[in-house]
Amino acid sequence: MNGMAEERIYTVGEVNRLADSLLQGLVAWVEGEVSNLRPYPNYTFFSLADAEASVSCIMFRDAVREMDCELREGMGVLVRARLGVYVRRGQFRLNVMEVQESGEGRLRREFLVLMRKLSGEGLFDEALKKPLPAYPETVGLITSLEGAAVRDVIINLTRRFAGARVVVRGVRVQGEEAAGDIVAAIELFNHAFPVDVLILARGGGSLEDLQPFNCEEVVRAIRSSNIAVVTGVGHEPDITLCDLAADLRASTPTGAAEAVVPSTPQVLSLLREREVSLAAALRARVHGMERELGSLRGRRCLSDPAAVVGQAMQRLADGEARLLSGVRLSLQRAERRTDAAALCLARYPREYRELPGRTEAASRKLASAAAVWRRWREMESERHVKGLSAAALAMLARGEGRVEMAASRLEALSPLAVLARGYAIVTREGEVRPLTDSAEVSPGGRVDVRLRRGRLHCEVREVEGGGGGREDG
Amino acid sequence: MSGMTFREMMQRLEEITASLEKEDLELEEGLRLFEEGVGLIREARQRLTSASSKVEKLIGSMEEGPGTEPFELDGALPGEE
Repeated sequence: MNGMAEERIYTVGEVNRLADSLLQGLVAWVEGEVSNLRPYPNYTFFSLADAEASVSCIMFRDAVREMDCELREGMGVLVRARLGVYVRRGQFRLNVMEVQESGEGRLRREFLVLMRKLSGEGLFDEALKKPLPAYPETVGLITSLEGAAVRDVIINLTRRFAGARVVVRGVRVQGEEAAGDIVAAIELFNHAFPVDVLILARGGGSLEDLQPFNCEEVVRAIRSSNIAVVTGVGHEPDITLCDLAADLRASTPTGAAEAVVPSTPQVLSLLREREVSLAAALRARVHGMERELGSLRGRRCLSDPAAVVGQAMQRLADGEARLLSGVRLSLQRAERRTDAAALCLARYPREYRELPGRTEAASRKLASAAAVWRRWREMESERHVKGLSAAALAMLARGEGRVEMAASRLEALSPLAVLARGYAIVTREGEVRPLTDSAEVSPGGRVDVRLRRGRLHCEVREVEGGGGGREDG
Repeated sequence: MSGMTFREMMQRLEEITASLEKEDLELEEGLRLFEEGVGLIREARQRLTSASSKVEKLIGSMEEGPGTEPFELDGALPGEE
């Protein structure tokens, strides 16, 4: 593990192993041309050469299996490899973990560098994503006027939700001029022709074709748009940087159309639900009225007017009896009492006359409310159940779509995806927080290295740099 | 009512449903809201089923100002009624 001890005599094996150990942990992207290709069941040998030099490479079966392309003699490739020495022969050799075709490989690397930069600026933060309007009146579409994408989006938009107006801005979606066109279109909509939501769409293509959708100026234009932007780019599994910056990413132009407008059957189901709740609320009000009416009827004077009259008669009779038997009472007093009794009698019937009037008004209201409710119920009764279950299914389908979108976005940002590209996470032994500063470990300390597959338990030989205020990994 | 956008209609409908579900509402007010709600539903449904989409092309630029012209997809839309 330590450097060379000059006074010591090494065996050939030892010195080769020493050389190998000095290279351990070094991983590099190397670009060159494949030659001398020799495939075996468990590994493949080849040389990687450019105008100046060549180097031997070994690629193990697992790495070969992971490749998207087949190695060919003369093929230009970009490989990610561990540097090492083949001890038995003292031969410097690359242990190739990943191979990409060269042109594509370069684009991919640039993509990753830019993604990291823009992501570092927070351009892809979820918090920045604007919600989409629920029922857009006007949809702006930025795409090529030729090709399938414009057709897919327009047909799906208009078929799903006939109420929307679609305004298409034709742009080039490929080549040098495309990025400028797209940026200008986003700005034109934002500053001169406001719409409720924007769709940026393009049919599928290679990474090179999709370049305008991976360039910084378009990403920035999307992020600074005040109008929510939905992307539907290609049918590639790969995500573009535009997708990451967009307020919503659909994987195809058709998907973007579907995300932007609700489907007519969905809205019809929602209307049906609203209808049901309106009717239920009205019915609750009517029931409330019924209860009030019931309590009004419960009052004695209303439920048994005869008893009230009877009581008054009784009091009158009492008065009369007193009048007759009380010989000492003056006629005036007797008369006054009679008047009082008569007044009393008169008051009850008046109350009795008024109360039924109130009951009638309440009954009329109740009857008209009941009639409205009944009319509604007769008209609509059977359709509720159907409508509601359709709405539930539609909501479910929509939910699934969202989950799928979230999953693909998550996948793109997952550290595992980064690991798959050959980066490693280094932690202090037994810790989970990744190391970002070499000053956090000292020589002899132990670190764990998490690779895409498996872990390495390592001992630190030497520590360089780190500890400053800078934060680079 | 017809001056409302579809979104406004849906929003109003939600408000109506919410206030109708509140207990402290006079029956007259409730009936009025109910009728308004039913009217909105009728109109929304009609717009959904009878409206035909308008597709236009945005022309011009920031300098010369934007404009629109009708945009037709080549050929008939498949399955178009």
